Amino acid sequence: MFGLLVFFALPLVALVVRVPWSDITDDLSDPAIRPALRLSLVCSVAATGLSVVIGVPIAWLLARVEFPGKAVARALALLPLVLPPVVGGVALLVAFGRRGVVGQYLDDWFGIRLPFTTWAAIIAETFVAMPFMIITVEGALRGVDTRYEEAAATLGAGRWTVMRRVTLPAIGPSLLAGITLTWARALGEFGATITFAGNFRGETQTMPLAVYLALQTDTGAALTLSLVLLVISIVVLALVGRRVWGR
Amino acid sequence: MGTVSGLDARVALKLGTLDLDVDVHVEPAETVVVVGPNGAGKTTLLRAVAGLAPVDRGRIVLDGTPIDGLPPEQRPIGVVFQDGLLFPKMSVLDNVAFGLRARGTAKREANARAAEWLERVGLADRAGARPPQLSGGQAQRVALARALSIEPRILLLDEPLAALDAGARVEVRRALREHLAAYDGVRIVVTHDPLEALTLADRLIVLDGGRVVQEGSPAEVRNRPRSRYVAQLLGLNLFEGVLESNDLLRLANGFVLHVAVDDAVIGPCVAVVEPAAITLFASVPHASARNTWEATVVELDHEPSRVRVRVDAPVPLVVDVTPGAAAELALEPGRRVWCALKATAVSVEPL
Repeated sequence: MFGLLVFFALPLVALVVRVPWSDITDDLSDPAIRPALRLSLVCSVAATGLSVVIGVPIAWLLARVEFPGKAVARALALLPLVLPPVVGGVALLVAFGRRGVVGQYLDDWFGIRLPFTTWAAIIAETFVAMPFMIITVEGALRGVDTRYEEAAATLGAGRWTVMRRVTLPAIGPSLLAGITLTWARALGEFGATITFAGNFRGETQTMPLAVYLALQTDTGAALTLSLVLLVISIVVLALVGRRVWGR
Repeated sequence: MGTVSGLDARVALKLGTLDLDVDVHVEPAETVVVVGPNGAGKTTLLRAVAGLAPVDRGRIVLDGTPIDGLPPEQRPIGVVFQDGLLFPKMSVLDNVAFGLRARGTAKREANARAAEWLERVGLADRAGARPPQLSGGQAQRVALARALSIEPRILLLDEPLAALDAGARVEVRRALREHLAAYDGVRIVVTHDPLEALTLADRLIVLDGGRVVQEGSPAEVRNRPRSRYVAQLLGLNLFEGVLESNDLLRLANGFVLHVAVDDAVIGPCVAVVEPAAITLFASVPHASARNTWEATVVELDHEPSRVRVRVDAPVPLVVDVTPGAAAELALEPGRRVWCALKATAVSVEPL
């Protein structure tokens, strides 16, 4: 047990130890940090929101509706979990790039160009992180006692009211867990983002990308940026974790 | 052709091993109690009327209007489920207001009417509680208030007492009697509880293997059981009366039954006596039993292991004896016998 803790904690401790604490005020005032931090928060929150809007209905379909090809559908929904994120990024580029399968029509008909924009970063993060939402919520929906939903229907509640007032409250903790995991995964997203959205400061350069860039020139700055990301993640996970998983 | 009032439900469906095919009519303000062995299709029948179980063939018509094409949320029904199924994350008040809110009543009015209903079931003080904080009996009373709050025209009760302990049963049975009497819609109750069946029912329907095997007033079904299941379930002697002390129950016709109860619940009660608890004698018995009556044998019903004897004492009784005893006593219709019943063999339930 203790060994396991050491195994997980050691790299993080090493990171903290090696942070150039003497230069920290300089590093933290680096002009790259603020936009990267802002972009990371905006994109990860937006990706989480999209994952709720798209992922919860998918989870509901997988948990409650029988349809042919369901096993394949589930495999597709969870594929980003096993796919290297770079491959995900390439796939997004082929689909939504300016000459992509869908992207060329988006450009021709609507003048929408997704790649290398903030939207691209959000889409890349959603693509990679949404399976966490689907897998968590689907499991929770399967565990819900559907008789409560039937009781609600006999009282006159339509499908939407049942969802909002009975089903969602019943899976509340799992939904929160799904949101947390999805957000955490989106915050750390690197491969798909840099492939599909590029690395433009203020546009698509999120914290992980900033860390990667800093690592090429200034290890100290990279460590400081990593520390910032680490602190934010730990604070959020600790705060939400108490609500989701108890003390 | 005039409009038929009440509920007409012709339901045929297959579900697993169940092959349900029944035709049930219920008058307005009539309570039909559905009994039958496990797997007979009782609950499925209720679910079909509620729209929760898909019907293969059939027609469900309420007051001349077909409702079988409607989803559950559009049917004028109220359902009380076996274990209440109160929404655990909502307050008791929100639970009762849920149906009104779902049907578009403004929040303030829904809450006011829900509060009235809680008052009526005697739980106004628990409005702010969460369902897990309620006792089983309280939860079931809230479930009843929740089902009635939307003023349904069909009230369906699926084994409303089955999940309760003895004390809570009395509490909920009393609430059911009171509120069913005040409700003028169609009521269908599914139960395993003989006392509930006999005290609530205007009419009994016996289901077995997905078919109606018997139908009639509680007295008819009890006196002429067409299956062993019914004979065993309903073949009880029931006496409604007033408990005057902890050893004396006075029946409506003035007849007095000696009983022995620990905690005397003075007031209206029902006494239950198993047919096997009564002993028959050819002459005046010199027994310790508190209750002895002279009686006339009305009818004998021979079964392999026992003979069910109907006798006319000051009140009609059902008595089970062994075939040997029946032969020894030369039982036949018209024969005079003596009955003996120990006061301790009478179980008394408050109404």
